[in-house]
Amino acid sequence: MDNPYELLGLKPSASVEDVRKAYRKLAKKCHPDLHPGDAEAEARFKAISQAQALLSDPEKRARFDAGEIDAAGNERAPEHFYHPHADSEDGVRYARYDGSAHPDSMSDIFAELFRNQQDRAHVKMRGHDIHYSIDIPFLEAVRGTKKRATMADGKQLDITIPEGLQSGQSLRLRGKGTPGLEGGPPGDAYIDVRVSPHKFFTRRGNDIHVTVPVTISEAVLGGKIKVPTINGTVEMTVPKHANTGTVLRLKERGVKDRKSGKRGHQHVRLEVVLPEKPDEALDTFAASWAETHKDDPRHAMLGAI
Amino acid sequence: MTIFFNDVVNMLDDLNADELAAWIDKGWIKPEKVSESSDVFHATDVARVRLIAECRYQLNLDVDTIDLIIPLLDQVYGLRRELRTLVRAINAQPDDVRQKILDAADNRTA
Repeated sequence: MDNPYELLGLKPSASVEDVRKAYRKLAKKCHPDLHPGDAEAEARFKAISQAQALLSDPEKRARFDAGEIDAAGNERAPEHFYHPHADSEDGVRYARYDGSAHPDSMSDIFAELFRNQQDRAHVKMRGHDIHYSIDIPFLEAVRGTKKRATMADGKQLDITIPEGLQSGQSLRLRGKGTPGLEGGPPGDAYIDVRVSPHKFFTRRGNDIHVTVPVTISEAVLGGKIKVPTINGTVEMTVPKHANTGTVLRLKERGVKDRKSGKRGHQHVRLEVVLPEKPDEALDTFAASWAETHKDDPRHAMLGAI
Repeated sequence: MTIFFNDVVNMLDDLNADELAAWIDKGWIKPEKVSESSDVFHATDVARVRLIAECRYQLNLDVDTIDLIIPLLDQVYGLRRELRTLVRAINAQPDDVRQKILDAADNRTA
């Protein structure tokens, strides 16, 4: 317990009036009911109340001055504060705002919180868009198709793949996103499409490129062969004396352009292949043919280094 | 124990009946009216009488000043109520929501 004179900022010679003035001045600054929840103010208030009680009582003050009692004396500071009551359930009778969500009893700040919530609840909100990505086989992408696909989140969607779809393109399915709120429209689903590569077709723009093997006799003598295109098998004429690397064009057998509707072409590159199994007749012919043909096809390469 | 008007007057040395009646007229104190002629004071009312008496006699505040203080005081306690309601509501949220609220409040003051 601090010295009551020091607590009140007084000298030991202070008059009764000085004590009262000093107490009032300090008490106004730290009255617990004027500082609800401030434990420091409450402790300070108790201390100065005790100090004031002691110094206002001539008998006790004399005994304190004489060192007969300590600063705590026998007095107790008033314990009948209002703030525990004000903060209690019953205190609501006096409180300006009752801390409930009732519109009539809210402060403007509190009301704002609830108003915002109500506004939100009644605003029509469009649902969110959902983004998916799927892999589509090459031929489905170039030909176009309708299919039902299962998305990563388990949702099944009916998708129309337009003819000639390119990898990286995105399809929009209107209204297939999340549902709207309060009658708002649903969001859309966006599907990013990756086209899987094909075993032998490759696509450049709207043209299709494919390499087909031809036998030695087909290459030398020419003739009609069957080749695959994206829309089925087509007969094609191999000219006489074709070679590996010869590229033939199948007009308008490529991918249909989505805007112009015109098809690209298919480019067929020939690759001369030997028979899968060794052939005696061919061996005999090659040996006799080599006797009279000593040209080195690597001649130009060797000369270049 | 039921506390009536006279009990309150007798409880406090400085208080007289006229003054307490005036405080009730001003609306500073709102005892429960159990009949035309008798008011019952609950613990909250008594504590409030003590506070006003303290302001009036110990702190020597005049009536006009107290008239100014009381509504402000009732606002403070009302706002504390609202604040507690909010704190309870926030505390009832999952940790991540509470953290978001704290972060947002932090941004507001920064």
